[in-house]
Amino acid sequence: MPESASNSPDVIPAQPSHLQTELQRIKDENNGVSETALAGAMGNEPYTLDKPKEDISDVVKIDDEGRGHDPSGRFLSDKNLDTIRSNADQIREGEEEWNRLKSEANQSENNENTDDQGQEGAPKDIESGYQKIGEAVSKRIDELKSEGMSDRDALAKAHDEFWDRVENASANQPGPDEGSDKNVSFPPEDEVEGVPFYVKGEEKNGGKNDAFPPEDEVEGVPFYIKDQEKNNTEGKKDAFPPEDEVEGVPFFIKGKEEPPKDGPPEENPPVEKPPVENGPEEAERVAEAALAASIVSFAAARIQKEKIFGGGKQEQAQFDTAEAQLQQTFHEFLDRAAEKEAAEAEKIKESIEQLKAKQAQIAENVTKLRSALEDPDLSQAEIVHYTQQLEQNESEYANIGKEILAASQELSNIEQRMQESAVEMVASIRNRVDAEMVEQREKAHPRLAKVNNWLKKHKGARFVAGVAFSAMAITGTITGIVPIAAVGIAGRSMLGAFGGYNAVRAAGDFIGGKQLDRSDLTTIEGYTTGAEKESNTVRRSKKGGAVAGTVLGALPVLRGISHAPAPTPPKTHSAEEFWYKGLSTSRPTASADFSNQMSAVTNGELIPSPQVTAALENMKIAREAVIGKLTEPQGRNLDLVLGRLSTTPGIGNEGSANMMNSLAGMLKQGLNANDIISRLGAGPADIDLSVVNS
Amino acid sequence: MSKEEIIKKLGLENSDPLTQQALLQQVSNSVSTRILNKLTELLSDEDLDKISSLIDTGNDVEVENYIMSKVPNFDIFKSQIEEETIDEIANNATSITEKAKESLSENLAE
Repeated sequence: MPESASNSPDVIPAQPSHLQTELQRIKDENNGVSETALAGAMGNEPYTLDKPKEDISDVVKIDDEGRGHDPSGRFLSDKNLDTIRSNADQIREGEEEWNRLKSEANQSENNENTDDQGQEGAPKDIESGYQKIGEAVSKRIDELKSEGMSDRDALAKAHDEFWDRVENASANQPGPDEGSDKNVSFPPEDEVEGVPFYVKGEEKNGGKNDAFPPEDEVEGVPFYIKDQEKNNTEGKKDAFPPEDEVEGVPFFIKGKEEPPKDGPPEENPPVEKPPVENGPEEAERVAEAALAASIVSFAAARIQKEKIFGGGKQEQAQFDTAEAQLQQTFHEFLDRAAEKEAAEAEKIKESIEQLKAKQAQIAENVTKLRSALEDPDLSQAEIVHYTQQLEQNESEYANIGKEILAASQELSNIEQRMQESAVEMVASIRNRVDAEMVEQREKAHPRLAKVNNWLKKHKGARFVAGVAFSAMAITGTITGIVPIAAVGIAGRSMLGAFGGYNAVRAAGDFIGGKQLDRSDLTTIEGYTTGAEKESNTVRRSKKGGAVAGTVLGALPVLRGISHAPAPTPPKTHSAEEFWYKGLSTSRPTASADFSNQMSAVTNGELIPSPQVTAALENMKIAREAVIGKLTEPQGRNLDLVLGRLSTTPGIGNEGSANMMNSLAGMLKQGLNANDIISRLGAGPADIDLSVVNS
Repeated sequence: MSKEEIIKKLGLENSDPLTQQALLQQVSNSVSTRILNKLTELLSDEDLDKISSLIDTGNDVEVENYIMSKVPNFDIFKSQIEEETIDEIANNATSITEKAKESLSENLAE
């Protein structure tokens, strides 16, 4: 131990500044003595000193209140955060080393495309590892697509599966470089687990995002550093030290020795959970994710169904499933959103109480200060000091009063704010569904993208502006895929009105970053299951079991989208009316017969046979599948022909998909109803075609 | 529908004018995106070919006329979509608020 340290008169009791200086000097000399050992020998605990906090936000994620978070968003204990802080320099060095190696590797690769195989841990291997990961994910995407999954779904599922494997590997396998001297190891062929090296700000494999987690997951995970000895024990999930471990070297730090370990491997450190977990905000986020996935799935099924002229059974089944799922997730989302709105209102109320308590405390201070100032023996310095404190307290008291007023006003308007928030939310969902439909349809029809781009650029044109909105000079903007609005107006206005007091800040916590537990969201089913699970959790945790889908079940959800199984033209004519016109002109008594029959059915006096009903339903489905592909005049001609065919022996209402396809083809060729009737021999071609263009 | 009618339907009568305007803009965006969606459903491959060639010529009026010819009674078509969208948003938003109010009153009563 350095003499200067042991003999220093300043260390008993230790003064933070002296100890800090001493530690820094010894560290600078790099004499191999650890900070912990030195501090222990000095009879002090360095991590408990109230020393200035070093900024380590470049190393680990730090929130506004100075709390550290691990990569999954969980709180770090103060001990762990201090440990990271004390090793921040080594962590940074590791990052620099990594960057240097990568830079050298890139340079080398540019100069000569040599084969670096055999140099374990070299950057070439790292690139190769990323490449393998990318290839593995791509391969999985191809497999899923070959199973019938859409491009988008296959992409999402493959990536989710990949990250699940990474998570499982992290939980169940040794550390990334355990049992090896190499510092940065990558998995062998066909093994994507255990990818250890996410460096904040690192290039993502030449633009490939596949091998990296989302941006918000990579921050603060730069711990696997060159020449580090590991202390990761088998089964440990992350690089953070156990809760009770502050001594020694918890990470893979350059030049440090691994501290001896006695006893059994330690369990994962208990981690504090963010206060929002399982709260209304988190539940809403899960439900939002489920809804977003359902929208994508629904749009895909809807588009797929459009491709089938008569509507195949498989496509119909897929569509039905997607529709039901969308409805379910929509309800779930609305439930969670409503709960969040209510929770926000409660937070405002709680904030008001906290502000009042703080104000009372300040009032007490003010009284004491005023009393102190009445002391005739005060020095001039004391008078100045107390006066300044008094002014500060009075100012703060007044500011809090304003915040209480603002919060109270917010609370009194909360119902209006809820409605505004809900309108914003539902409008964004509506928008999202349509935008998803447009985008997927564009992918299937590249020429459509060109037309749509033209339409988007001409937003002032007649096509895409609502009639009423045009009248009030509000031109709608066609948007692409946008996130579902989940942040209420109430929250935003509240934040705008309030200051920075912690008590009030709690009311705005709901705008925190979105963090989803990916492990439960690997598939569409996973999304739904996750939402349901979350839902149950929330409901169980509710005191008195307050809310559970009471109102929303009766909603006409996403009307006009999910209940339109195929594209339909504007309802400018009634199909039944034209069927009637088609048949009544072929048979003089048909009109009366038809009217009588319809009345009898309507009154319940006549019950059509199941065969007739089924045939009619099939005909309607087949018609719906083609009507959207026809112009309005063609559609009218089609209905005239269908009316006629319904009375034609051998055909009747047996309107199969193939037949409807044939009729549509003839209409597209320019034939009218009479032409088709003649061609089919379905009676006299005497329909008054003036109704087609009227 | 007039502006006042839409605002009333959406339950925004007591909102401040700026908020009303912002939300009307959002609903208008939804209407426009939905109209675009429905339009794309109505265009056949042949239509797309034709429109594409018209776009290339740079004649916006021709493009507009051609699309209009594919959707007779275009204003009715748009009005229906607009009304349907506003109704849907209004119904669902009101239901959310009702449920939130119910939840709030129950929780605050505890």
